[in-house]
Amino acid sequence: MVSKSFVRRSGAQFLLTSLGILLIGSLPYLFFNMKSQLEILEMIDQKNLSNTLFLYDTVVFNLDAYVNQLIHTIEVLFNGNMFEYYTRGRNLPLFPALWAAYTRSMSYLVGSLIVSIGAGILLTFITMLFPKQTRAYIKGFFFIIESLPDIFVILLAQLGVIWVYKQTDLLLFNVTTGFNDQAIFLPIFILSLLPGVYIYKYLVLSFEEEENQLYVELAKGKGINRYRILLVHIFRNAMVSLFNHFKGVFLFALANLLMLELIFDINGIMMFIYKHGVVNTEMVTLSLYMIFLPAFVLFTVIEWFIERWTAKQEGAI
Amino acid sequence: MRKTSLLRNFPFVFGIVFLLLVLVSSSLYSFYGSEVQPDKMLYDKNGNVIALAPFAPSFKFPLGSDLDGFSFVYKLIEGAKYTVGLAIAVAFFRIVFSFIFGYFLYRLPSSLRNMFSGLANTLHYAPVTIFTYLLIAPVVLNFSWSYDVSTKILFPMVILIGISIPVLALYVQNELDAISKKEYIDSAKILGGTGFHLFRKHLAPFLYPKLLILFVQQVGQVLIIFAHLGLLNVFIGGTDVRVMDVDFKTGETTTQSFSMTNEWAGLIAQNFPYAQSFPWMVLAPVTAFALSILAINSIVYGLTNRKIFKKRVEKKSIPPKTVILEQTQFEFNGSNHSSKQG
Repeated sequence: MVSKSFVRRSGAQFLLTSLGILLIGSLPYLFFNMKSQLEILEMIDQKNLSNTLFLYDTVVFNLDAYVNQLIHTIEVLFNGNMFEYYTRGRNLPLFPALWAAYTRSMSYLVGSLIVSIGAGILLTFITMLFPKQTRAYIKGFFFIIESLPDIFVILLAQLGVIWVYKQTDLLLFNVTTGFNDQAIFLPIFILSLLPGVYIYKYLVLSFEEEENQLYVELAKGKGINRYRILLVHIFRNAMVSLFNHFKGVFLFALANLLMLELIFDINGIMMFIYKHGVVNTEMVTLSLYMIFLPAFVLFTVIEWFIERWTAKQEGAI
Repeated sequence: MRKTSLLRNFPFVFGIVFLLLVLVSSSLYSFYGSEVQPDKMLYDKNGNVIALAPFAPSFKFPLGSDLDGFSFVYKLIEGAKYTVGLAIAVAFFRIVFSFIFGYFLYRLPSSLRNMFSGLANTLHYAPVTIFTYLLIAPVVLNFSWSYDVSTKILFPMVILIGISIPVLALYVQNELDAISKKEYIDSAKILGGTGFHLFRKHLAPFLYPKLLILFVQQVGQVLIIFAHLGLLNVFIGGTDVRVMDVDFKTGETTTQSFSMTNEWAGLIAQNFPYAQSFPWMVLAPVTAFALSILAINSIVYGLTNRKIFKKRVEKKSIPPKTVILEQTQFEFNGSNHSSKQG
């Protein structure tokens, strides 16, 4: 059932994006004299060098060093046994640390995606029960929320929880991550806010589009219950468009992840890249692959399902 | 006709008025603003100290105050021209370069074009802020000892412009493709129009309104990245290093960077350590960002949904017109004569 063109398209997409990650990960080597800078950084960190006033450098265009770094990165990625990262004058083994950060971030990401999809669908149902004019107000409200920057929403939500705690002594959620107790629910809840609104926006659009279709009119004419039409018939068709937008939702949540980890002081993968990424470009490349691979598999599976579903529909007609 | 419809377009007007007010008051402030050193203490009527700076939000300090007792409202107004101005400049160059680059993409054979779009897809798999940070940080933070001031200001701008070009150029190229499939392009070709002529006379004019909307959107995007970079401790508007603490035994000094220009991202960066104890110190600049981004998004909304507002205008204007027509029909001779005589 899988068409050849689909396989070829996905394969090409996969190869190109992998190449892109490789190219972008080593980009600092193109613009800066990274080797000498890293040596100086190591000397400063080990306190062999204290005066840096005499050092001067400019932004360069270093194609040789870039290509060398690309080859080096490929070697590191495929050998796999020399993963180390540099921090404060020492080289530390990358693997337990990065893996822990990665699983933490991914559990937040997956959890919040599930919550945001659930909340988005529920909100859409509730909105669709209102008459059209009331709907316009609700949509306007969500338009305002949607256009607020993520940093504002996340900060405000965190402060809101603290405020509730101060007023009522009721700690809704753990606000920050402590030594061995993880803040779990609040980050997931906050990370799901903006993607939830995003999902809601598209779902309401496609629900309203479906609502004007002929089959809904027919169903109404047959006297089928309004809720049944909404829950079964419209919902089924609108879900396809949700899956079409799933890639956008996922990437949107990913973009919010950085701010979430920063504000909540979570040691996730984004914080890891932020803290150590500049001096460890191989690590950046590796983490980008770790994000890209599962996401790409997920997108491809969804795309394949949609393709099969539409093919079936057309075949039925 | 066009002008009225834009002026009645409430979201558009709201956004424009808000941004203009902020920018104008910001540039006026640098001429007329007072340079009074404020008190670090707040007294009540009897002269007792009731609060120490930073002051919490109140009637006197609507957004709170900073460590020196400056009200955040004034600081934010002063910094607005740098932040918003810089965002507008960056967005403008983004659009200009991606317009040029998009045209070149459009002229490329489709196999190369697909390759480029596959490569550009990479930029989606992590926040743009991370990519920007990784390229800016070596100059501004990690190896900051070796670069001079002009590099530290110019290079981040180049990166901020460059990082968006692949995605935006692809958008321009897609739009160009869509327009060039229209029929009148075929007839223009038959009449002898060659590549660049077609682009200049027949493709580009259709692109300009879309580019305008894209430009406004990009101003918002750049503002968001500024806010993010502020949280990542990158100062865009120059730093002023102050000695905070001196350890007399070792002679080591603890220094802290301050934003010289009260540029918003810098304000976020310098105040983030105080976020837990004095939340308003971070919340104030973030609110400024949020409000301007809201204004920009409502301009975008107004520009993209112009049809809705046009329709409303027409509906409103129809009934009075018909009434006037009826009146003139009734008093056709009399009214005309009287108006000429009077």
